[in-house]
Amino acid sequence: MNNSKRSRLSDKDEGPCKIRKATNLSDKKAIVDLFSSFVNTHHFRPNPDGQRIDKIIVIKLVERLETTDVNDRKFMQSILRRVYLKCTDLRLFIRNQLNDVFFRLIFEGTDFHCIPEILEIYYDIIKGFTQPYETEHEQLLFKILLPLHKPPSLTKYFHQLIKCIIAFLNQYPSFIEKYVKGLLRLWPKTSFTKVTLFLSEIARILVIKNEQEVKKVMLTIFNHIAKCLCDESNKIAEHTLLLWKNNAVLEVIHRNHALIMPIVYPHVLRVLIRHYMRKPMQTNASIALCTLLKMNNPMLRCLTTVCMSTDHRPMKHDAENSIPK
Amino acid sequence: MAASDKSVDDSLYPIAVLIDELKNEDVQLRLNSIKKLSTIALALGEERTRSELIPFLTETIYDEDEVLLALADQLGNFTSLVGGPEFAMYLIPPLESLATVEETVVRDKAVESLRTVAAEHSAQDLEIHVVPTLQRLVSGDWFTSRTSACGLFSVCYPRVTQPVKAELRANFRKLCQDETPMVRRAAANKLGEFAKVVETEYLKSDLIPNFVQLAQDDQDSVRLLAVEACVSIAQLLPQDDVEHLVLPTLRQCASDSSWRVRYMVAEKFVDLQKAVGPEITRVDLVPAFQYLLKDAEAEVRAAVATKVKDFCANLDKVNQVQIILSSILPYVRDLVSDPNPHVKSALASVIMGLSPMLGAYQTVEQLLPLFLIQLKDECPEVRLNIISNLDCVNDVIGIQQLSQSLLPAIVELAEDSKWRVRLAIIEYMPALAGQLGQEFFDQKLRGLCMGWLNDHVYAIREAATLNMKKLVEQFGAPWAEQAIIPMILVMSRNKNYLHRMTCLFCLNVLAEVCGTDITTKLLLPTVLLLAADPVANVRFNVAKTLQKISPFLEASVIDAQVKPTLDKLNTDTDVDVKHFAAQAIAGIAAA
Repeated sequence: MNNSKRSRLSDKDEGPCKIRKATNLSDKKAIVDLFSSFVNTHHFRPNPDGQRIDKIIVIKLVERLETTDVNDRKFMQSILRRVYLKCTDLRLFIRNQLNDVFFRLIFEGTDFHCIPEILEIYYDIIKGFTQPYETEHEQLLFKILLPLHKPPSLTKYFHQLIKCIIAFLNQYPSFIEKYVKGLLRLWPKTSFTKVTLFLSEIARILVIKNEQEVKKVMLTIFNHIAKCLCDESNKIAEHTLLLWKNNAVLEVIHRNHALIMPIVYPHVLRVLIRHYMRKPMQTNASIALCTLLKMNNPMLRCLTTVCMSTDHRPMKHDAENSIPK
Repeated sequence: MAASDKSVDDSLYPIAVLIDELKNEDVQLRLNSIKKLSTIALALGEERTRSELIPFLTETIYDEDEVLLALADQLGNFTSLVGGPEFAMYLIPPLESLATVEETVVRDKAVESLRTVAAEHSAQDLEIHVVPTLQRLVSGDWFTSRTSACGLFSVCYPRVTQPVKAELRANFRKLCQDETPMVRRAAANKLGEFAKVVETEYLKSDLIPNFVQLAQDDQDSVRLLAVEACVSIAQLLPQDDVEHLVLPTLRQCASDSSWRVRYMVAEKFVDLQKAVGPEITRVDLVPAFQYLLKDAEAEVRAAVATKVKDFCANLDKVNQVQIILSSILPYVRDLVSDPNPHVKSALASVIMGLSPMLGAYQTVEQLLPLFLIQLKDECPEVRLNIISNLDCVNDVIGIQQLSQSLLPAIVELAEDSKWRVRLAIIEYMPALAGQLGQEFFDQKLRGLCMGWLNDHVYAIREAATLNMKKLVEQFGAPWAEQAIIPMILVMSRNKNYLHRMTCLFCLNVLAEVCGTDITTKLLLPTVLLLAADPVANVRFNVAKTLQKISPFLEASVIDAQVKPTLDKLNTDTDVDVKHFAAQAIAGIAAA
């Protein structure tokens, strides 16, 4: 048989392939720049063969995005960005190839190094979305970005993921309600680290500047925050109290205090009592209480009276005795 | 009336409890309920399980993945609880729903259970109930349905009618051409098992075109799965058909542009070899093997290097030696000096396995030079792999020939001026001794091992001491008594106190492996003698040694000989000696 390496591509295959063989950074950069220049100047013919060649190059680029060398990944990422920007007829194909990497992570459990880089590309893509939304956009949010919260490697790409999500929800606020319900369904049960990430995402969603849509999920979100305050894990309760140090969140609470305080206050009070031996908890709970106090003193006093009443059982299954005066 | 009311209440109870528990906010409670489904089904009886429990579960399939996983698992064992195989079809609807959810582990479990349940259907029921399910999954909008469908073809196909079989093959082809790579990968994954249940004529006309197409897929992750299918398909065809239908694609895979695909070919190479048979192996697979041995990617070279021995062993006997000498060894020779350490160690772990195939003469001529190179390799794992496999060569050319060839290299390493090299060879000595045998060791290597005990570097002496213990473990205490202990005892009279110390350390570790008799008769007297040593370091190490070896001595010996000596050391002029003596006395008393 023919032992020489059979290339399935024409000369256009040389660019991406050579990059992996380059021995130093400047060579790689030169090749990347050369290819970028090529992409900038070449006029792709919209014929079947040309389309085939272009698609195979995209596949090769995505394949080579998966490498342990972070610099290599940045190179591949920059080329993909240029190709996406330049070749409008390839955009759908590029998105499909990138989606396949996500699907393999979500559905096949394959680990990838390049997820953060792909999410950064997607951030740019999302920023470029135009109204009205399409089915593909909705699928992106609910079939890709939302399930990306599941893999154990979430910590490696969470910041890029959340940027995509917030950018998306800013563009399409009508999805906030459905998205929040999905997120709460995925809420971690055993991973403290993941809970902290989810809490920070909730905080980011609360401060999206579309109050009408955010208000629809306000009740749901703060009920969930109340649950976190009462979580069996001290660390989760403590971390939840940090929301009161987030000025943007505080502003949301302030504007909606009539709705929020009855939900949250009893649990903050409970944290204060239950964790009286833990100084950090005491400090954070006190800060939260003082903040709530400044918002609406009369309401707070009324709520306190209700909670203190020996004749009233404000919290279901509350095994604690009345708070001593 | 009262009796009637009670009866009605009782019959409603299990479902009511289940409904309440499945509505509970606590996931763990819901999970526990699902795990008790079989108990509930038994309580309800078969008819109500079919008419009430299963429909209820089907309607409520929207829950935490954990709960769904447990549900999918339970339903796979439910056939007897719904009334036996004739009622197995009642289990299909909930499992079909579970096979379409997003979570991979839930879907996989649902498919597994569907396969179990499908196998329990009669042929007629299979066609009426399972095949439509498969077809709905095949045409599902979202790709999760279609990936699940791939797992059901092989369990349905053998027992349905011809027209349905044709339809199933068409559906499978559609999945092989699906626009989503996930589905194509699932199809490639299942192609092998499907091929095993399809008639040969349709294998050729339908499945092999699918295989060829998947092997040329745009995605390398699909192509590499096609390599696995290749093994199954090749096993099912006669030689001529393998050559015409499978080999062109196999050649293409072996030279694929993606190293991952080539890696998979390397990984499956021996399976492919067995599947295609000796003639095609000689003509086509040997060149492909050579090609992979020279691959640009180290991962591929390492993977194929591990197959050298097995590949050669499976060559047809008539041509085996000739093929190895003319077609394999030249490439293997290059790998011995490969730039990548993983490739070299992979080869080192199997290369000696060629020796029995080549025979004594060719082993000496061709392989020994390679062994010598590997024995001096800078990578420790290469050296270790060579030494660990010496028995293969031993059996072929005998210990004398082997020792004549390898001993100079070993001695050279053992006497290397860099102490780290000497240290490295000491670590292999127990394995080497085990391979070469006691007689050879006594003649050729014992002197080296004793010499290390007198090395000027402490780390060498320490390693040599430990080496002695391992050698005794290997050869036994009687050997130690006559072969090494006399020489160790001589060290107790060495002028250099450091060597007298080394003697003590040896006695320390040898007591553990020599037993009470030898310890009492040979080791203890020397330890006691050194208690009078002029150097304090030696004396306090005597105290420590006595404490360590006392578990191997009889109480009467301890009372008569050990304690008086320790008492004397306890009155020594040196504070350290007194400290360790006191410690030893306390330690022995506590024992």
